[in-house]
Amino acid sequence: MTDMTSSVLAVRWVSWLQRGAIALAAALLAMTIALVVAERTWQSSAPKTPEEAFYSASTGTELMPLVVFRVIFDLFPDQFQPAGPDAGDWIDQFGLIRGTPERNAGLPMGFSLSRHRPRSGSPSPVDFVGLNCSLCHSARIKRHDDDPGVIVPGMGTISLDFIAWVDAFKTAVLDERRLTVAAIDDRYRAKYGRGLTLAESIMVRLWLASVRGTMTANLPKTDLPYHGAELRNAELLPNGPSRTQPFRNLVRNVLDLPAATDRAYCKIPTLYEQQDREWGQFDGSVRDRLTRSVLAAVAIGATPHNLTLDDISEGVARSIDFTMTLAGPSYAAVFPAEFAQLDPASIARGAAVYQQHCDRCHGHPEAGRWIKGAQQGQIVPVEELGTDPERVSFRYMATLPDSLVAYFDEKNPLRPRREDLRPGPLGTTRGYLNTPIHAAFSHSPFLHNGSVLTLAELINLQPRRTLFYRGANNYDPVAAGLVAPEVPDARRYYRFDTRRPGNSNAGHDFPWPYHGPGWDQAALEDLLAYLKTI
Amino acid sequence: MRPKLSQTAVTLTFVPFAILLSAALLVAEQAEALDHARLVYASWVSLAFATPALALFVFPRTRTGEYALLTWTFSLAAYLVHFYYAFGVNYHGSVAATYAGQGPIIATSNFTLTALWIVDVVTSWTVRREVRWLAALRLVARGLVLVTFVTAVILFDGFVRVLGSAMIVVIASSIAIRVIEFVRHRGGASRSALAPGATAS
Repeated sequence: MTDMTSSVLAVRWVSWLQRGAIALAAALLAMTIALVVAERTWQSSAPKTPEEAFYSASTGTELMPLVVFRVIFDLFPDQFQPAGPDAGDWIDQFGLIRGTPERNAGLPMGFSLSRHRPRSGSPSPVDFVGLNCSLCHSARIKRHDDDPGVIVPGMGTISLDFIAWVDAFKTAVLDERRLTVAAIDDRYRAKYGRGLTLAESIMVRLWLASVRGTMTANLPKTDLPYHGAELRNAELLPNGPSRTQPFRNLVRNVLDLPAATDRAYCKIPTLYEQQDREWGQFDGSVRDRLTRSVLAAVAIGATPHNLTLDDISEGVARSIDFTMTLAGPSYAAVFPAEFAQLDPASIARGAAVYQQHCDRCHGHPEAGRWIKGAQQGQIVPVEELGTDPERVSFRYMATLPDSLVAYFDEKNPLRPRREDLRPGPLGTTRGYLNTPIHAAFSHSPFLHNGSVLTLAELINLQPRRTLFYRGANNYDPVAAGLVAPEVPDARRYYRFDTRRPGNSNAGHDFPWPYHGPGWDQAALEDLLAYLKTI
Repeated sequence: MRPKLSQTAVTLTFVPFAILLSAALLVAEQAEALDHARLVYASWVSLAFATPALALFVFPRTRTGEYALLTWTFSLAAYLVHFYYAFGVNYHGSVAATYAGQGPIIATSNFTLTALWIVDVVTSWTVRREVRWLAALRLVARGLVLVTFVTAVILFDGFVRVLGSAMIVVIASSIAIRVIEFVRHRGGASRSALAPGATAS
């Protein structure tokens, strides 16, 4: 009888255990499916117009949750205010442009919001902050430090110290003692009167673990980031404001190599009227416009996969559309008083000088369109042009195109075509591309490495300066370019020494070398007047 | 014909199915490409359940049993998750895009397999009387599943190859056992027929 009772009890226990296991498994599956379904509702949508996309689209380069972005600069003033608290906030000190409340929740220009997680692009229940085109390709032209100035979309930034900002960000993220979920929660509560929600807390925790892991794994390639006052030391961070090393990160991300000897410093280019450009990059190394944007995004953290996500790919495509017909600023509109003082006769004479010495390579505007020069779009060998060679002689230049193609899966619709990359089937010349110069005055600083400050210096009307300081430089409408002091101040801190590798301001001595054979000051003054009108 | 289901059979099949499919969907959160990872991991779960289902199908005594039905059903459920990510997400539910992406042979095969498998499982649960065309359908559906997974073993590297190879070993072993049983049975029947004192009927 007892045996029978035990047996019945055992059967009942097994039965209850089975029911419990089934119930738990069903609950797990139901919650998982609920999560999967919910994730479909977290998806972002691409901005609807090309202009909105240029300012707000995700480019697959998500950096951090919005709640972290809101407080990280307060938590690390030592990194994000390297000149001290009196020299302005992080936006001022890294040369960004302040945002407006109606766009991207008021974030500085170039920071956009999405519901994508970094790298994977997977849906997120909370907003993430990423980078987009307008970060680098927008600038503020101002005459003095208190001048609100004119914000010009499509103009290459003249003040953003992006590489230094990234190092400050990395330093903050790698600080496991100071950047914690609790610290973020405390700071957020103090600033906004509420703590992190459960979803925010989970996503911050996941993000911290992931981004720290990735950064730590990459340290053998990137080395430890510079921090604090080092961020303004040109010996340690030789890019400086308004410049990047366009292939250093591609070498790191694609070839998995440190790119330690890369000195291919390049200014951020303008993006006006891209319909007039067949090849991109200063050396004409990328043809397809989508490929240009894709590689730029990959260089700062996007992946071949996340760039194919619907809203990201649509956003990138619409941003490109925006630049196709984007007109550059007019000197007359930005500097009406100075424009009014230009002598029409001088402009006419300058046009003749331009036609004789510049038009062949750069073309000219006529009746609202750009008339292509005979050699526009061709690459001039660096030996002939005489400008700094680092950009076209960096290590891996020959092997990178093949690796870039291979970096993308064969089925990836964004995989570059090999013929769209040079050196390659369509050319191996190491030199610089003859490009149209819409809104010439707004291309300052000049030459691919930003080593020449004004149009007056570029055409050798005035001598090119050897040493100057860069940062949030003001604009000189007379010389048509940046005003740069010879001693540093809080806003102009980066020592630009043109004698350093990658910084040479030599070459492109057109129409004539300074005080060289044929040099004609009056003709150059006329040419400068004309250049202000195109 | 739907067999009577015991709680034990449901526990031993549904619990691992729910855990594995949940894991497949959740572990993918850490992958570089979430949807693609879910597509791949769900196919692994499907393959894991197809293996016992196909092995049980080899034997007449277990072919229509509860374990065969449950494992076959859960294999289909995981496959439908895989199919959703492949067709619904990857190709945005577009038949034309699927044909363009996969080519006509693979796309047709996949659509056919999906349709047959669904009909097979639905009829397994609903039709009370087994008829000849249903038996043929079950054979064809399982054959297609087997061919599909074996093809995956050939085409793809990685864990799917491990799972697929295990499936091939298990099914080949089952068929071998079935053949041995068949031969023994026939041998036994022949010996009984020749035994002393046996009489012809």
